[in-house]
Amino acid sequence: MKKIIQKQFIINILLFCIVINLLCLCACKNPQEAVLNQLNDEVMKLHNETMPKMGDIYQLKAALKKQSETTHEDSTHLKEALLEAQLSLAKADDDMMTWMHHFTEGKNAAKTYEDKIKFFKTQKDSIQIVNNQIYMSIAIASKYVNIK
Amino acid sequence: MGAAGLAIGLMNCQNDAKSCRNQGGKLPIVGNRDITSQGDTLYPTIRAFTFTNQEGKAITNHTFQDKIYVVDFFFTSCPTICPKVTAQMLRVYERFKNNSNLLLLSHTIDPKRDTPDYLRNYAQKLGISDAQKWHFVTGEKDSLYAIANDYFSIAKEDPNTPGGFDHSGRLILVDKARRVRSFCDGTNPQEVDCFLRDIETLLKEP
Repeated sequence: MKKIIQKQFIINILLFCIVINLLCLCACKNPQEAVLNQLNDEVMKLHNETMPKMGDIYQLKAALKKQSETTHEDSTHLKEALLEAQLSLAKADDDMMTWMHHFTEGKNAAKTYEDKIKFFKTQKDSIQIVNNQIYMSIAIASKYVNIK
Repeated sequence: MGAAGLAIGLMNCQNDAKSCRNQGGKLPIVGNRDITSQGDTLYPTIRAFTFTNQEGKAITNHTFQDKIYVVDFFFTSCPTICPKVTAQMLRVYERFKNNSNLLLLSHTIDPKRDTPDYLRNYAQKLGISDAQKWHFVTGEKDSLYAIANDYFSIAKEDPNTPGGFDHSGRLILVDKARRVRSFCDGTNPQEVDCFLRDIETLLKEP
């Protein structure tokens, strides 16, 4: 009888240890997830800042093209400037689409916690560069055409 | 208890219906109309188009002749709202997959990467094997943006709303005469509930 009670006691202790270990694992994992979620949100916030401007880019490009077609052939400087503004917008558009493609693929590819941290930090820098290109190209185009 | 549950359920249904923009009557034609000098009313319509679907086949406005259809814009590497919108398009597909009078049309806005092959894989991952029912199309970027501009400039609730159509996540219902009859926020399942009712209503129109 005493042996049975001892056995039961040991089983209870073991079960207790397993539960404590599981709780520790969860507690350790959640702060890591919270850090990754926060980094993801920071990157997405930057992305969401300029993504709605993709429609403006399309409209500006169309307006520049129209203006270029109606600009007199002799106005070579203006024609060149209009073309340059269109190319700048096209680059901004392509940069954003390329960034999103790499972001989605890279996010799925990063496996370890350290890799994910490194990935999000790199992406935060690169989306900032994309945003700058978008703002710059819109500012240049807006010197020649107005879509509002 | 069961009767009370049913009553509450019915009340909820009634509340849901009441919150919908359209109350089950004839759907309005969306967009600003023009009156001609002869007094005729002109409604905005979607321009003629030609795109390529996931099977590499040409898809034009004739593909949708005598059909009503639901439109959205997406791209396969979209990191934010597209998966939510596609989930709601799947609801539309599931509900009406056996109704030959309704088709679905999803346009990519990233034609550089979303080739027909890529779109076919994407459709297959979603479980869509019938390319005659749900067309995932690609084409010239300018043409895709131009037609998006057509759909969204018509289906605009508030002209002062900031933001481009790429982030609108909107689902748009088009009738047999290529006129927009309803639209909703494709990221909002409650709005899509109303949209599904609108599709039922439009399907009953002769």
